[in-house]
Amino acid sequence: MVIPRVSLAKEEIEDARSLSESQRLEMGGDLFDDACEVTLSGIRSENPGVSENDAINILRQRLELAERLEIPL
Amino acid sequence: MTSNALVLRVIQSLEHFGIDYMLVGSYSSNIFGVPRSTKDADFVIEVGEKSLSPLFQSLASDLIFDSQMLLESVTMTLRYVGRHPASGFKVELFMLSSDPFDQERFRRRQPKSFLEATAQLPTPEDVIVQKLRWFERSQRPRDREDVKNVLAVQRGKLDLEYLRGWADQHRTRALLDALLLEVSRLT
Repeated sequence: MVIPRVSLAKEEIEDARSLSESQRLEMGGDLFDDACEVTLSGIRSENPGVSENDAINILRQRLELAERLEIPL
Repeated sequence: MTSNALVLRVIQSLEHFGIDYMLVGSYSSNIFGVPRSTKDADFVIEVGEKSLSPLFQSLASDLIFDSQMLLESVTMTLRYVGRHPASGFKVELFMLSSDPFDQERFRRRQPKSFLEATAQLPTPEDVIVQKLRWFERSQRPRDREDVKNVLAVQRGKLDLEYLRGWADQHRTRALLDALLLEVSRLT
């Protein structure tokens, strides 16, 4: 089933309105921390035996890549 | 240390050293819009004659700051960049500029609850005005989306006259009007 984009956007806006300001303020950092944990799990799975420091270095390289990709050429 | 705990630590250090600040960037669009993951925290700070060395020293166990100030090419403001080594989370400290809008949004900043403390943030109108400016200059799609989300979530509560006044001055009025129309169809 194809969900019309306009419905998804409305839902996102209603969800955001249902949160308090402090919940919305804290959510960005929490989502980042959760996303990093998932990515680190993926890095460990792709690189069996990788050290914690090396896994974090790979994560940082990916974050830097994401930053470069954000800037339109 | 979580990203939010790190941001709180920066806020507490700024307050300890008597440096006025405002938390901007994606933290400020999240509080008034649709929250999204953010990998950095941007602050505007008013340093005056103070030295930032004591601040950097107090944060050194968690943040490694570049030794040199950088020029932000989009806004042409000066900034220091700090990185949390364990996570890659970035903290950027932008020097308050003499730009009239930068001065105005800093004057209008307001306290908001953050974790067990308070953080100074711009008003939703000022988040929109600044993000419109960023999008006009950098064409970063995320800034356009952030503006649209703040307009949608805050619909009916915004001072539209204030928004249009600055948008006219910054030549972002056409974009503002287009986004207001888009949002009116969504909500």
